[in-house]
Amino acid sequence: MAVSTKRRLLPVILIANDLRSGDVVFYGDDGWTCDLGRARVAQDHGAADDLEATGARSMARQNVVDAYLIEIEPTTDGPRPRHFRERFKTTGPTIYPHLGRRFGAAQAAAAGE
Amino acid sequence: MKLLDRDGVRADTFSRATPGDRDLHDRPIVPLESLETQLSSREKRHVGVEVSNVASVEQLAPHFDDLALIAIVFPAYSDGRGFTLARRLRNAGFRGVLRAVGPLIADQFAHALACGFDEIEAPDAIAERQPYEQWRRAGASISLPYQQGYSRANSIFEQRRLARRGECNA
Amino acid sequence: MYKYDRFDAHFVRERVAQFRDQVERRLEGSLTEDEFKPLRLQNGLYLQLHAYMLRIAVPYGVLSAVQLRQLALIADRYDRGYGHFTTRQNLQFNWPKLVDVPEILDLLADVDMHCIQTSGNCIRNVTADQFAGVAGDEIEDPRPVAELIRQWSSHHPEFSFLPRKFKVAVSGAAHDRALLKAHDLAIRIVRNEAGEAGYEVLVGGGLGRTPMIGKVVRDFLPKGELLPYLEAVMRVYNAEGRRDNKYKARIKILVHEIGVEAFQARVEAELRAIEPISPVDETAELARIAEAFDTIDYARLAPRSERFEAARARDARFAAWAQTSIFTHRVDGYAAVTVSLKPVGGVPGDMTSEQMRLFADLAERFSLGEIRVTHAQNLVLPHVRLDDLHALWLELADAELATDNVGLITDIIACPGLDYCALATARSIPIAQAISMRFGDAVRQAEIGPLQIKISGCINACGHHHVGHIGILGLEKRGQESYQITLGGDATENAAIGELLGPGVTAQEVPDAIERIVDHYLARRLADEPFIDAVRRLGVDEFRAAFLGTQDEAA
Ligand code: HEM
Ligand code: SF4
Repeated sequence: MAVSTKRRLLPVILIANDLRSGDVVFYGDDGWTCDLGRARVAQDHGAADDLEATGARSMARQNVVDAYLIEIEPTTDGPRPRHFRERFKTTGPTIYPHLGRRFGAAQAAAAGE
Repeated sequence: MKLLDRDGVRADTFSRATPGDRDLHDRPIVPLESLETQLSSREKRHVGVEVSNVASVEQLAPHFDDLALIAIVFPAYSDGRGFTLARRLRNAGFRGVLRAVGPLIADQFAHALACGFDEIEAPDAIAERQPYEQWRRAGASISLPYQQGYSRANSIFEQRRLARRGECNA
Repeated sequence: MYKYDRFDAHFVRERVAQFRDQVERRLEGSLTEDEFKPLRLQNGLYLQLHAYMLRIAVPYGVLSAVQLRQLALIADRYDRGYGHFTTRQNLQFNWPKLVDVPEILDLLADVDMHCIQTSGNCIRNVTADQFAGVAGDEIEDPRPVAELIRQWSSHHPEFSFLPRKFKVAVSGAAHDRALLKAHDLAIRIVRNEAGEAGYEVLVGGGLGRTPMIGKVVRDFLPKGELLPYLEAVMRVYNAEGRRDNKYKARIKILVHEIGVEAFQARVEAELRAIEPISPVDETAELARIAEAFDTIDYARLAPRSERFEAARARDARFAAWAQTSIFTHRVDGYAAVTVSLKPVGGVPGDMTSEQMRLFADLAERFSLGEIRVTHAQNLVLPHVRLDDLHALWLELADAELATDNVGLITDIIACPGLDYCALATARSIPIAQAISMRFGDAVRQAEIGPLQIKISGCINACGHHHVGHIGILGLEKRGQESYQITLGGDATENAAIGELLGPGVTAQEVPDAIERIVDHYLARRLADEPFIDAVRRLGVDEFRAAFLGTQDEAA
């Protein structure tokens, strides 16, 4: 799903799955995060290339798998993926809203994290 | 490249000879195209041949008795044609050394040995990332496979057959 | 049921240890993701959109109550409290963590289960008629052959890195309930003129991007010669199947490109090159395996149950359920009961851990502890006494498992689609839900009669849309989900690929489009004429007009 440099529409963020858990993660200023709102937004191609390189490095270091850039539009609630596929990927199955990201958050809360 | 077999990492006693090559190789591995000329000018049983995984048994069978080694190239670990070619060569009676050349991974060691390979010539990068200990462990991970008739004599089907005949119940 | 002997049990444990080692080597970097991927796939572990997905083999769809309870435990402990039954008779968990998978595999091994070869470019888990051993139209129980193939193909040294996946199905019945002709290889147990049982072998079926119907390559293979024959087929495919293009790598393309006769000739030549005699004493192995399936202690019962007849006369809802859910058992006084996993508006094939436990209890009380999974994503209780049917129905109703729609328009097959699947181009489950809501009324469904809708979220066709009476394929068109509708597919022994009706429609338009097709059928059918027969008689063009809304009666 990677977007070629010429075609990509800015801004973009870096998305991946955590190698160990499979959870959807985003690259933010403090490293990988499950919180879409904290994803680092690349506004120009230079920053996007940097993000892409970060993704490749992270994959090589066994932190994440399937890292790629996705196009987003900034909203007041944070980044919103332009493509419906990536929107579903960031929210969870549309058929089970309770099993999406909130489930992971609830689990984490229950575990006292 | 590193050469691995059942006993560990080994020195390669063969070397690659290219068609125009003037060096004298003691035990050359030659491409299929120059096999005939090499065989005519050398002692038998000192020559190896390297073939792609689409080579046919018919091309090689006439030389079985003269050949010391057949090396089959795996272009990628996911390309399993080499396993079938090895098996066909063994079925057709080749008794020399069978070598798998290419980026196989440790987890395919058992497959390769069972299909009749004796040794793997793996790229350095893989051999370094996957030290021999991993090959040994992966190769032994299934101690008793189901398939009968592959290079290991023992199998689950065979054990059951023996048990039925009351011969052995190990 | 087949019980592992010590060899099977030992093999599965070793396979778990092997995978545990592979996971560790992946985490510490000895294996790259590219190297690990085929290894995890051969153990049923995918990476989907939101998480990993683990596909658990339910060999030929046979499951015990004890096993289902263990699946419930895994769902609660390592997943999110539910599982999804698939068209290949397996169960998928959608949220396991990679690091937990070895433990899950150990829990599976505790109950003789595994995830071996439920994915990857290898010989996949073997599927079979869900009524195997139960059906009256059966020449022989196909399960022993299926189990023999399962064992023979497990961790095969030569056939684990094939050009592409290789799916096998087996049936011993006159009617095809296993979708034989859509498999890479299918085995039908048949009798020759001398009355001996043997195997008819079909090769080259498959759905996906280029749907094809399997062709007979051997009309009678004597018993005892199966494994060498399979070895020859696999060897020809492994050597010659295309590897230059993954969409052309299935055996169906090889058979199509070189022709059936050439393919047969190569297989026969390969057979001559190997020992013609099976290295395995197949007869003895089949007999050993068959013993495990023959142990069922049926009671001697009358063919007719007064209790059942009275309940049916008394209770119309029960009668309606019985009408769709009961399959005649070969043993007097018993029935096989199909339990719909398609509640109106629900997610096809999903089951919660709570339902699993309850269902396991019911299987023990009413069906000798045995369960079957169907390719239509439903479950079967294969050995229920007619006398017990009403009591069973009441219990199922309490668990919301008594939907009386088996084989009807809301008994929809749907793949996970874009709600889970990384390859999807559109969602499929919400489409199934919307259609199910539209046609959910029990009287209306019964009025429409047998009709199969099958939905896939991309061209890979996991939802079998090609062979649905009505098939729906989700695609992307101009940044939106768009659905193509096909008509006239058939998943039985009359296997046929559906024809496209017209341009794609939006998700919102799908239920209306289906309704126009159904209304046209209702207006034009002869008395008691099922949907698919009417489509065949009237032709697809007439329905196309209805679908496009260019006909008055559809307005
Ligand atoms: C969720 C992750 C899944 C992925 C990534 C996936 C992937 C694929 C792919 C790539 C194909 C096409 C193969 C080819 O044409 O060579 C395929 C076919 C198929 N899959 Fe899946 N699948 C998934 C889930 C499922 C599920 C849930 C089912 C059962 C409901 C299923 C059953 C099938 C069947 C029956 C086919 C068609 C068989 C054929 O191509 O002949 N798959 N799948
Ligand atoms: S048909 Fe496509 S969307 Fe559906 S499960 Fe298969 S690969 Fe995924």
